[in-house]
Amino acid sequence: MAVTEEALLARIARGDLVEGPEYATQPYIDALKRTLIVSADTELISAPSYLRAARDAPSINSYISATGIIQDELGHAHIAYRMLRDLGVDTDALVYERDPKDFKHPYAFDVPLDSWTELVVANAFYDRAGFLLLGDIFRHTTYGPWKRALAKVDREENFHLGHGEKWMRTLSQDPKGKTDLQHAVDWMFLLTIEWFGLPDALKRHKEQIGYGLKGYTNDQLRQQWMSTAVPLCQEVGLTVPARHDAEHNEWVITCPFPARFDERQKSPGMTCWCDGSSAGPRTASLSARSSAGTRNWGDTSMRELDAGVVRAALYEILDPEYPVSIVDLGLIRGVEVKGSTVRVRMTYTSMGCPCTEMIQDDIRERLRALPGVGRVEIEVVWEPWTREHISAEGLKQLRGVGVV
Amino acid sequence: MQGEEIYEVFAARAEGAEPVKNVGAVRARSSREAAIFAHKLYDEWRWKEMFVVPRRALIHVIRPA
Repeated sequence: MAVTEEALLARIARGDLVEGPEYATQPYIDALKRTLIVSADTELISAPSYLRAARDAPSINSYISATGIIQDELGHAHIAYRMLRDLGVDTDALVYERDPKDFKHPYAFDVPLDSWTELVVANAFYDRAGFLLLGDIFRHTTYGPWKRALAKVDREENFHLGHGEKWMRTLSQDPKGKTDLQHAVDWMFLLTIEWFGLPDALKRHKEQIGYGLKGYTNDQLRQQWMSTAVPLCQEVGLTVPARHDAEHNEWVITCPFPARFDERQKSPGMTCWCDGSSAGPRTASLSARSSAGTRNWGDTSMRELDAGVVRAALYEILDPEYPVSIVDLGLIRGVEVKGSTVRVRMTYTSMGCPCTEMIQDDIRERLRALPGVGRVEIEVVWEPWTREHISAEGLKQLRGVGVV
Repeated sequence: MQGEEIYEVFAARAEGAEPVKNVGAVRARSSREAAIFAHKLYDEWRWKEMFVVPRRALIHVIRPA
């Protein structure tokens, strides 16, 4: 029996995942395929791009690190293509027979990376964008198979951006290295800003609203990216055209943008959003990169770090067994913020809880994604847990799934 | 491609007491090839155990509502 749009939206509203095309409507599947193709193509195209620059690696060890990253990227592409194959897409035709102009990836990958410096900035910038975009899908998507598969991607992209950060800190110690970094950052910063796609106000694929394929909008993710990328650049003494506007609590770009990019000179100039009509066929992908869910997860990204922000983020973490937030379940017993260190005191429903490690991994991942968080400490206090600790909202949700 | 089929990949992490779970799938021409692909591709954790199972061998008994 065909799934109706109403039944699909009710499933999503209940928090039940869509486990395959048989549980979705055609518009949902079309929106999902579009998002998957952008993800798959971006991961795939990053491999040759990174390999080109890896040849400039300063040592055999660093070359091996880079090829490890490249192998990861191919693995990530494989995940998204395999999702597409399971949706009935001919992925061989997609990979081997498609016109290269039809590949859907950010414009940034149309610009060759020429040096080790550009490669490590790509790790720190592009992989940070990938980490945020896919991390958002990993945490929020309503499509079950993708959500599960992204555990690998989320973990590895975090390593890639850490690799970039480490190398940027190392290279910035030396005056020549710092100059080269500044040149790379000068063109790569704006191209990564553009990576997140059209501003929310200009997005065209409105049909994805309501499907919750992802949780944050393009503009929210762009803000999240700037909230860690800009401080990194400032820390190593690099200048980037962005600053934090304390009054409006948002990151603002301080140069003409959107801008047309001179590929040969690798320098941004003036003009418009690459929306597919003005900047060549490859950037048509940016319009396909749209999509915003309607779930209100509360954008905690731009607020100053405090216990309230941490709690709001913890609220997004669901117990692996029941679709209830760990906060509503009464597992969180205290939150402290000291500088960039966040300390969470928590308990479990029983000593034999099989999900302890998974929940702690989720907490670390979510909190580390918050701006300003350096270290996450989790103390398991093994305080008694009873039904009385479940919030009214939690009880309501558990009743909804027939647990209490 | 000719003669290929899908194999589901199941694995359990080396650390902790997590049970075997489905971690992904690979496409291969033989079970041996599937094992190699799975071992290379799903390397995000250290595993204590890993299986590949032809998807055609899985029989769906209960489906989600």
